[in-house]
Amino acid sequence: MDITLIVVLVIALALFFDFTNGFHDTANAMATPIATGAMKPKVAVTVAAVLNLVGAFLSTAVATSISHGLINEGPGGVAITPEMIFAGLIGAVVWNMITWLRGLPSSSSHALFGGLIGAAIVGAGFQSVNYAALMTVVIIPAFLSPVIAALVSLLSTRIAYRITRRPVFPNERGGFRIGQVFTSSMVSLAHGTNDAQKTMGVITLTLIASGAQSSTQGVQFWVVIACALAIALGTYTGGWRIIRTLGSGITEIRATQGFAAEASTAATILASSHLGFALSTTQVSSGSIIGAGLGRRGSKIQWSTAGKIVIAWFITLPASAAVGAVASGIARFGVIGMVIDAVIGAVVILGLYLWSLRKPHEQAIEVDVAANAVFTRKELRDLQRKKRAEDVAARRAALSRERTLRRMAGRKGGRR
Amino acid sequence: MGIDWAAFAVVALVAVVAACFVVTVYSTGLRLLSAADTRAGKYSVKDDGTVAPATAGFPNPAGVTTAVRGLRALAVVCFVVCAATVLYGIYLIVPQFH
Repeated sequence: MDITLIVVLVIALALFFDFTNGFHDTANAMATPIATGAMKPKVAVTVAAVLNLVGAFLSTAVATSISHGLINEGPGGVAITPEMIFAGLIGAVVWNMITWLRGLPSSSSHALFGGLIGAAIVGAGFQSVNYAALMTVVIIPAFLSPVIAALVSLLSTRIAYRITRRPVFPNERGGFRIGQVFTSSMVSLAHGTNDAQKTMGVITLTLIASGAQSSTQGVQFWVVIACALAIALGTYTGGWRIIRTLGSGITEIRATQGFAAEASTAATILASSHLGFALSTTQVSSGSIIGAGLGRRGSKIQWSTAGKIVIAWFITLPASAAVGAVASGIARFGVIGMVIDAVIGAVVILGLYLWSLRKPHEQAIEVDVAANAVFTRKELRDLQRKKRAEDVAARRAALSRERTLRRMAGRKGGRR
Repeated sequence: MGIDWAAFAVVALVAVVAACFVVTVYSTGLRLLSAADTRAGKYSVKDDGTVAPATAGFPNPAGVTTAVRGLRALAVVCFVVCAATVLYGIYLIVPQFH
């Protein structure tokens, strides 16, 4: 039937998914340098956007299977139709918007997998999903990623503090801020090469499925440009709510910790993508920040926030699968269904966006709104100074009251 | 559910070694730089062991001894090693180099 309309809808939605992916994941690289004041927020998101753009152009080797074997594709399995991709993307985008609204860092790839799984179950039945692959690709890494990242980050934070501890003279731990700029940039670049590629794969597979492109051809150049721009624009827009959660919601990050955490994130992601054990960027970077919090003596971790983040990771797949399933069910009515899907999806996304404008105060998770505000080091120092001045004033007032009382007691006739 | 534990162990080991290496070298560089500054007279130490900014002007050309220069050179070596590691990381990220 009207194959071109479907293709256009899928491409538009895929680019929007790329956009949400970008602003969802800015926090992974840039939350800690913003929190420690290593980079100004605007500068940080600009650097991240440029590196994502560059990264997207660097890596165009698209995977042959968008679902990483989660769905039994190819001979003997089910064919993923553009309708399924469309429904899956709606699930992924809606879930990304919801987690962003709550300030929760969740994996965009898991949202995409979840959406596709939901769509495939409705479109082709329960046997279309490879549950063993689901276990090894999504569930076990979700346990392992944060644990390994936290461990690496804990160790390197300890090392950093140990080496630069104060023997006699003060030392310049501020120098870690410069290091942070580089480690965070590495994370950003790695993110760009990984994530823009996912959307390129989705668009290319759709083009092949609709016959607009032969399967031997690689990614078309306009697809690369569009995906790179979408992810860079998303990154530049900046998911401030998630940046706030990662930057100061879990623990108060200092330059040394931030450097150690981002170095660990970069090392873990690079190791995992080059030695073939896929770990989620989002989960690795959240784990690193928890590890850095554990590594410094006297720093507190908001376990309630960390718990909510972990819960969000485990809900991501089923939740986006549910949305994908509903969208897929509607899309079964053909083109009309897809248009209805698109309209409902647009309304929901717009509604979530408007809701985010209406409730700016309940940003991030409502653990402790005050603690979730991103303070730069300077602002924190000013706050502490103010608090100390207040304490001193209060103590002085108490002392003077005591003196008055004593004087009164010393008077003839005792206290009146 | 054949999860590849060997691959996982390799990833974990490489991540730990790489991250700790970079952090160690960078921290050492900062420490050396700090030590050089201290020797060059950036701080003055009072009798009770507390430290304050130098009374004389800093940088003080008279304070820059061979030891200070040596420490600074070592610090620079540390930062260069870090930069090389970062470049290797970029090499790994960019598939065109392989």
